[in-house]
Amino acid sequence: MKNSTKLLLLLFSLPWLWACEDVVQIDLQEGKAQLVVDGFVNNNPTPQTIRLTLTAPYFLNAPAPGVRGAEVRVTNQTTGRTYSFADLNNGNYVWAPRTMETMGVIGDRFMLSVRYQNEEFTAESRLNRTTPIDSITYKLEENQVGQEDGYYAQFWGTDQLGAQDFYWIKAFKNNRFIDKPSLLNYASNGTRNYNPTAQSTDGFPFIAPIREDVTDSDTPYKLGDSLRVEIWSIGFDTYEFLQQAQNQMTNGGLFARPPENVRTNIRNRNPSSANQALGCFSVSTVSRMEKLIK
Amino acid sequence: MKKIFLLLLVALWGRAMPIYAQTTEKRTLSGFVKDAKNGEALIGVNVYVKGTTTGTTTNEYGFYSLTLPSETYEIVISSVGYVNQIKQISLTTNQKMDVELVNSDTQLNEVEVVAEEDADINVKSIEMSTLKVDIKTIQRIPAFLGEVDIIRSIQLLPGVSTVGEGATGFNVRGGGIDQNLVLLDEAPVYNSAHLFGFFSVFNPDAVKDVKLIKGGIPAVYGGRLSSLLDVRMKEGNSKRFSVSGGVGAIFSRLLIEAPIIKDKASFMIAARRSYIDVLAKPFLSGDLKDSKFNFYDLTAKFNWQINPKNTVYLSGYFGRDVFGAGFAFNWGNATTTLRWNHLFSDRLFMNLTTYYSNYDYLLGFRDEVQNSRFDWKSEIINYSVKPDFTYFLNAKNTIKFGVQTILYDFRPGNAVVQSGTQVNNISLDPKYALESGIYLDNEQKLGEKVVLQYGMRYSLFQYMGSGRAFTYGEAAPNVRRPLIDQTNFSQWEVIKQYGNLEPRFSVNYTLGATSSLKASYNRTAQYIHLVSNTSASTPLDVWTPSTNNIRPQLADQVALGYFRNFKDNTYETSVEVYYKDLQGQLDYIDNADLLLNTLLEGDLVQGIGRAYGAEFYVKKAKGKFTGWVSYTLAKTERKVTGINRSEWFPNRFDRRHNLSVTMAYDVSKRWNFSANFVLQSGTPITFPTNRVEVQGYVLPHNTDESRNNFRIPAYHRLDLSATHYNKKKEGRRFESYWVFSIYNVYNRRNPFAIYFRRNADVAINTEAVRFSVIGSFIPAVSYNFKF
Repeated sequence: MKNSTKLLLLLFSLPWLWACEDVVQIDLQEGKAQLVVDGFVNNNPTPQTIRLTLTAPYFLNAPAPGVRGAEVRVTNQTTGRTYSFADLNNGNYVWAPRTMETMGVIGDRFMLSVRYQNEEFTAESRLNRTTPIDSITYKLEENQVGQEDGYYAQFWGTDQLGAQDFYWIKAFKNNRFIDKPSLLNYASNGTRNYNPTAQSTDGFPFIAPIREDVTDSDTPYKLGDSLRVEIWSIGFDTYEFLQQAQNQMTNGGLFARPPENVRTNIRNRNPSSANQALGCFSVSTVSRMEKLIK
Repeated sequence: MKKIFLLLLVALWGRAMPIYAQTTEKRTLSGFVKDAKNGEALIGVNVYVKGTTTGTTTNEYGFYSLTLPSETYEIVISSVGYVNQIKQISLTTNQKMDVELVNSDTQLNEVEVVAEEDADINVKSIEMSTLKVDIKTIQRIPAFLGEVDIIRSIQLLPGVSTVGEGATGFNVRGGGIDQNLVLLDEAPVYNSAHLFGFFSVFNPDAVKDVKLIKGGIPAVYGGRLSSLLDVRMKEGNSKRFSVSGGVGAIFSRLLIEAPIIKDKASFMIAARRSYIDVLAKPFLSGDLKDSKFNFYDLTAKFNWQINPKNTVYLSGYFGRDVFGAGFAFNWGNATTTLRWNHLFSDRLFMNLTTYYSNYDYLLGFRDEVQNSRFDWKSEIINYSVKPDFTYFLNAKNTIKFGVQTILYDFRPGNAVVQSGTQVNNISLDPKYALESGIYLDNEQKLGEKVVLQYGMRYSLFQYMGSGRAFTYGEAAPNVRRPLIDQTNFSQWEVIKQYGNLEPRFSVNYTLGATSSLKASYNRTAQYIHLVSNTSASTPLDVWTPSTNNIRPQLADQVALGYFRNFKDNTYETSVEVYYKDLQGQLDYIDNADLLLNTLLEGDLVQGIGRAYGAEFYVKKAKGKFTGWVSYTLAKTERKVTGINRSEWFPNRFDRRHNLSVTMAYDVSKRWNFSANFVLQSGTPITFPTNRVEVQGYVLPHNTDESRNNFRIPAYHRLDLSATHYNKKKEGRRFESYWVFSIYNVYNRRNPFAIYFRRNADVAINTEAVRFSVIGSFIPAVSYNFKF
């Protein structure tokens, strides 16, 4: 059974043979611009980027304006070392390692500091463990309802035994990140159920919806395509950020929830300041595997 | 118990009414009123002394009792749609008088109206904010896909609205859908919808009477804040075997009824099933070959009048919606009610109800090849015992008293997930509760002009073990509260108890022969809550009891109404205003996790609400041209700490204006035309102000944290239908008719919601999407028969 969610959605929509969606023009009020921190870094020995932007009118339909002139630093609180991110004057702030240098090892704690317009914003993250990818498999699927014909892939892996682990699974087709909101793929242990008091799903192989969300059913893989899957270790706050982000981006239909603001782990040093930031800071370690469809 | 009550009553009323205690001997006239055609008990029939206001009405079981001084009377028995009867009664001894009324069948014969000066029941009755729709009227309203539907029909009445078409349930005077006590033969129905809300679970063929009480709720009823929808099933024909049914666009229906012992015992069994799946089968291939999508229900009733003092009724409902194709998703209600009517004397009537009600759903995925599965089941089960007594003290006082107890068994989620060889149970704990109520209520006539109804209900709710009770710490507004402690409780051990006194009061002041002024106040308490934060409730929503962390909801409502009839009751009009104050309204922190969350209570918050409005209603009840106009001007809002900057905001189902016009015209004996027009303000909805870009994703963001800050455009729709009655063959009982209907005649795409998404082609672009549940006009034909 492929794409169970999609099939479910399809059947849910069956009664609405008469339902329809139209794109309409809406005038929205514009709110005050706020600082946004896009701070997903990892401990690979490669350049690490933190992007700072401002919020923009919802229908701007252009990349958000980059923030220049901020001071961005990440401190490994375990080792005491500070990594300064250089302002590239386009909103990107980059730390470039020397050969084989990384920001830290599993278990290290990090603190982000962003100084912008006389205010300081901070966030914390712990570098958690990830889990390896055992294999990637794929299969040709044709004439299935609700999906295009092509190769559908799955990755196989198992949650690490022990503590509760959170993962962000990123799929790249021909080196391009598949950024479809419905395929935003995150896991708590082997599932998407975070239930702290229930017996946890510790040590679970990733369940089918997580394994399968590496293929976009509108543009499945063709012969010669490459697929890279990465599992980024994340913390609980980042797991929640991703889950909420997905909920907000895919909210609609008869059963829409009220739109809600996605929570952030970025704090102003001065909690009562009128300028509060948005976004997420997370330090990860990454496991990966690549497969050529042939 | 009963004795204590009676003693109390005698002490209270006996002393207050010395005149009655000392005048001439009094005698009681009592009996049952039935339909002459099928032997069905008739509800709300007026039984009164001609030319006076001295009288009573039959109760839900067709029983009346009238105690009068020993004299000779002309008693009128009258009910809308039936030919009046006048009986000469010499009341020298207590008398039994059972009456069978003959249907006046307005379509075929001109009604012989006995000239009565009195106004109709809508003016005379103490009831206000009460809507009664008889099933014949409902059957004439142009229906969606030609399927007659009770819940869609009551939405055309003043004070009743919905968040949008296709949504489950209905909203009464600014209350949530879970604030309606929906009773089917006294048993509560927890999800009244088929197909998410397009149709309701009540099979119109099997329904006898529908009553919606929006305000001035008598003390007899408790458990929900906003309304009572009392649906009574039809009793089987006790005179002869009869079959009716129909074939429509969605359902096929069949009802069979027959006497078991003529005039004494009968049964009725009715079934409906949708058949989209049957029709679609040939077009499905591959994975979908085994897909299921249908819904059905079965309604049955058995009644037996053992002797003049004892009658038993056994009724049940079972319905399900079934979806599946590589997965299983189904839900449904089941209810069983056993009732015993007993006459202790010709003045003391008892109805003992015991019921069982269950709502459950199941969602499951299974993949044998990859050895993985997910099964999720949720249930709410309850059992209740409810003896209700009516004591017909005298012509001026009717006293009702009784008790009720409900045992709740909540199973919010039993879930098992399997991946490979690993199996894990992620079920939530069951929860148990006991809800009890005791009430006393009197309807009293003061002179010729004033009728009072006053009563008190005391409700008690006990949240019980076995189970874990959680204690949460403080958190900032709109932030999840942390768990700080948990305690285990053993079976039946009370974890938390709530009690509330619920006063109820109504008054009717007669202004003249055809008009009256009515006022009411009621307090209601609600102890169970539907946890739902979606626009329309989903079948997956779970009910939760009040706990040590969730307070009961309370409402106080005052209503004032003016009722006037014109032209010999041809036109019935009313104007009502109401104000409702609500406490303990359930809301959710942003991004709350409502499903399969053990620590759900940490994500819940409670606030206050207020709702007020004015309702205007004009109905033409007689003649070839009938129908009504209903207009409601209303507002419903809430205030919750941490949401919308802790300021008042409108509820998602708030509609300022709500107009509906429904009319039917009998062109001839063979043709009837009807039309229906609705015009409603759009509902409020939350729009973002800004975009937040992270990792290539564009997230909506609302800078000032507003809730429901915009309104979607107004809703309006016209429906038409024509009914053609086929010629009846001489001497045959077979009757049939065709219904042709068009829903949404001028093809309007009424928005249900507007939401935002990423443009499919350009990832950086966002767009607003208007979602219409019905995007076109929908014609339908149905064929109905009866013999």
